[in-house]
Amino acid sequence: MNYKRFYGPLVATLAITLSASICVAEGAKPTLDDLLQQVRSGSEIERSLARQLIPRYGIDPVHNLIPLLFLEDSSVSSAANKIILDIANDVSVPGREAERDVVAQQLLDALAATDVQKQQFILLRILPVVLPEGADIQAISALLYRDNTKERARRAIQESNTAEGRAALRGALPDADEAFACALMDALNKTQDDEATPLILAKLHRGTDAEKAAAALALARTGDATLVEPFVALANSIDINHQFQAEDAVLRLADALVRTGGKWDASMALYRTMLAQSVNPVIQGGALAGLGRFGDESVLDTIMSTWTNDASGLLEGPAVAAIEAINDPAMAPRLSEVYAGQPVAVKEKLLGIMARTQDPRFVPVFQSATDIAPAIQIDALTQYRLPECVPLLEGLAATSGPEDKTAAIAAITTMATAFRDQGDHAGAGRAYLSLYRTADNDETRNTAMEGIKAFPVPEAFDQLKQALGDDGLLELQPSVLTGMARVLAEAGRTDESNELKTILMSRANDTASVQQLLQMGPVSGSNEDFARQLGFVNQWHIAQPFALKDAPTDGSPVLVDGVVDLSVTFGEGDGAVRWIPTPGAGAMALVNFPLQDQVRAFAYVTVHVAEAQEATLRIGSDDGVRAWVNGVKVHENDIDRGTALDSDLVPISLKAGDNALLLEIIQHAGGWNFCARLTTPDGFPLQFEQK
Amino acid sequence: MIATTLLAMAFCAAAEPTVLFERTKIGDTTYEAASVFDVDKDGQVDIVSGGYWHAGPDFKTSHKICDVMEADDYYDDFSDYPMDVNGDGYMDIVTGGWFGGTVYWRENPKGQLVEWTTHEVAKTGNIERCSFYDIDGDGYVEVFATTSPVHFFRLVRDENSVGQGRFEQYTITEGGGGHGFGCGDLNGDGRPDLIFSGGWMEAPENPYDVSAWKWHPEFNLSTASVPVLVHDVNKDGKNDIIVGGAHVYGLWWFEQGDDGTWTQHVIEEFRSQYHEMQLADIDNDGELELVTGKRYRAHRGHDPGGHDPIGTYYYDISPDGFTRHTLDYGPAGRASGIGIYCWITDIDGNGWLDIVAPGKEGMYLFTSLGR
Repeated sequence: MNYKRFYGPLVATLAITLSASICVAEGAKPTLDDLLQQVRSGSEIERSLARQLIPRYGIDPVHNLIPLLFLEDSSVSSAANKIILDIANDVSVPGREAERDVVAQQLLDALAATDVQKQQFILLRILPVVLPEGADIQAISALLYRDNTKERARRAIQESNTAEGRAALRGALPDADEAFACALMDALNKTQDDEATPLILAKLHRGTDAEKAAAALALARTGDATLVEPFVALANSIDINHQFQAEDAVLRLADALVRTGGKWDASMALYRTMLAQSVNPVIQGGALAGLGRFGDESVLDTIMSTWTNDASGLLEGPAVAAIEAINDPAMAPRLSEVYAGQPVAVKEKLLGIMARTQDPRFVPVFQSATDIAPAIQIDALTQYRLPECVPLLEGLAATSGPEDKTAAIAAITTMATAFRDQGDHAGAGRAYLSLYRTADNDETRNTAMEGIKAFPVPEAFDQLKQALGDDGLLELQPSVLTGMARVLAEAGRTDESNELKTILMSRANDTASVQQLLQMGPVSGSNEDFARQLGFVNQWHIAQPFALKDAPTDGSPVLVDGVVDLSVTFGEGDGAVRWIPTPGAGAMALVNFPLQDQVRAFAYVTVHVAEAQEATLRIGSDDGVRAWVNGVKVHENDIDRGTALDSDLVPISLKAGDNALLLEIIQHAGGWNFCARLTTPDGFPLQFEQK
Repeated sequence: MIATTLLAMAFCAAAEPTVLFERTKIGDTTYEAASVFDVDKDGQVDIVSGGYWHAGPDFKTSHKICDVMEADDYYDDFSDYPMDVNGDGYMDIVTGGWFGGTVYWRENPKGQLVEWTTHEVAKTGNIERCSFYDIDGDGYVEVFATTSPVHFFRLVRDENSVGQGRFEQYTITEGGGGHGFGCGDLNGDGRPDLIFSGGWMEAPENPYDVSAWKWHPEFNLSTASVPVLVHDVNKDGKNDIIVGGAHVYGLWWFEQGDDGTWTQHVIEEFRSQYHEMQLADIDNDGELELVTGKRYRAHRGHDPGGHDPIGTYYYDISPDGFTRHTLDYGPAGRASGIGIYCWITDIDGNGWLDIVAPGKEGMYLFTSLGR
């Protein structure tokens, strides 16, 4: 690469820019004259820099720049134009009204001083940016009466939209030729000039057809109900070249009748009139759109008859869009009613409309849509995406050809995923069950089975049992069994629920499983029985309260020489503490103490096991806990906490026969309670007796 | 006793062209009650709504009345009924609301542009919407707080019927007030009976003998409109009742049969929150029409249909049923509902009734252009 050739111009440019920047940076600030000179005769880079710097001088440079606008050298005039526009924009903000007035006046003076069309056009482009309310715009309005400038002047006035400008437009209207009158009325409409209404009304009644159509378009925005009759009459009688405009004006008037308020019925009637009167499908489509945009269920019959009587087919799209746009809770029953009497081709479209509403009131329609092609039904059901769609899709999968069956299965999969993502677990479970039944390959079947397990529903139990067999059920994860047991119980299928709970009980060797079982409640029998099945100790002897402050940690005073004597009383009189038999409450065998702070309690039980064995003592306590087995301290955890199942796991050794278990429950503040259970080292509930 | 035969009305194109209205937004307030009277006695009626009055005839200038208690997007101002309470020749207003649980009157400062003084009439409990009926036939309305217990208040007047600035309170029952309150002669004895959600109370000869009102538990209107309207819909000589679902879908009329039987007829099934209703001859045909609409955000959007389009309607009433005419229908902002207490009167003197429709969507004046 020739680096010199490639980088040479860039280096030169940088050097110039740098020198200019340095010039500014070093305080040699260019004067306004310097900058204006640069605009006039400088290089492009100097001109560019001048453009950036000149607006900093405020409005002072404007009068110097205006003459430059008219120079033949387009690079100079263009730069001047841009700088003036920058200044004009700068001053066209609140707080700079006085400067804005000055700039506007300088431009207006320049406009008044020139007869050169090109110069006039340049000024007319800039003036709207800066022209204020109240300015004398004689220089502009005069140009409305010259053929070669009137259109540019009209545009400038429309853009600036001042009261004086609107008055000028009104003044020019009566004597304007046809084309310019139309343009003026359009401008008066866009500037929302209510004072022009009488003049435009005159054109509506006495103008040429072109002027009448333009007048109608200009007046439509008023929403004036008295215009309905003349507008409709005009659309009926106007020449063919302007009929579209006249009819469009009627639609705009109908729109304005609603927007201005108080004339809703009149608006709907006007849309209906145009549907009946116009043969132009664009106008008819516009009328349909209006009925949909503003209408209620009462316009449905009109839309349907327009659609079904349209031989061209061009109105189907607008009709469908209009029906979809109607916002009225009465639409569902009305549309369901209308659906029944339609030909199949229309029904197919209506199904799509109903599907997109996702209104469950349409379910009976989908259930009875047997005359619709499966592919159309599947497509609509996929969009409808309600749980009620799933059995319909399953039915279609069972009765349709391979292609439709594949589509139905895909739709069920989509729905299962959607329900899952929406948190509709029952819907997802039923969809996965349906998917399992319709699956035509192992991959889909496996997906379905995973879904069934994750989102159990009662109906899926039989399917699970059939698919997995009794042994397979045993191998399911506890969470799956728990969920299934829960939904079966909710569905009143108690025996099957208990069957699963029994399986769970036999496998409950971790805290989470026991927790889930506790949430479900006992398979049968009482909570106390259930607690025992889960290994909870629930026949305690309790002695409390003992002061916590400066208390020993060796089990005293209840533990003496490694032995607890339940006949001993601690203290005297009303404050004496005795051992009191206390059952644990509920399935967790929770023991609650009377609320007080800075105390401790002792809980004692004799546990009888047939053989010596290792075991785990699992304690939940509020707050801390110490534990002794057969007089030997096995655990200490002085902590602030609430009771939770199996908070502390303590390995212990039990001898054959009786074992003394003593717990000390430490209370700092707040709640005060505990629960405890015994399990085998691998977590299964321990079989033991309590004394 | 109600025999429910749900006869859904079929609405086809209105038999008579709908009266045209010009809609104008008044002020920037979102109070739900309004009234129309000449506040400053300049010969022009003004519009009063909540904390402001808007000077007629163009209603473009707003003057403050007072600060009104706000609660969420409600104001504690469910009526602005004009009444010269203190007899100074200037109309004051009687108001009350759910949140303040108090009937007040606000004293018009003789039309001067200063804030009005609010006077407490009584603490009554949560007011669904004050109602005003001439219960004693003296030509002046009494104030019903529309609460439980059911109280009404009679303005004390001198021998020249001039208000004395205080009210006498009467309590008819301890319960049964609130939603579904109305007033009219149900048994044809010429006396104004009171309608409640659970039935009606037969007016005695002396309405101030509060123990003489006789209870007829003949229907259950649930959270019905306030008011329930009394009107002989089927022209059989017995007055029927027209009931809106104030916080649910539905608009119905209950046909009075013999021996305390009432048959329910459906007027609207799929529009909700008809909290406010009035009878007026909107189309100048000599017959009363039902004027109603949606109370926008009646329960802050939580009611059934709370997010449906809102609207303002009047219904032709004939023995064959009701025919809806729609003035406005659409989302709030483009369309107007009717609030909790609208006002119907001929404001511009053209011989056609106009409607002032306040509400949380803003207050709109529907000026009738006739047909």
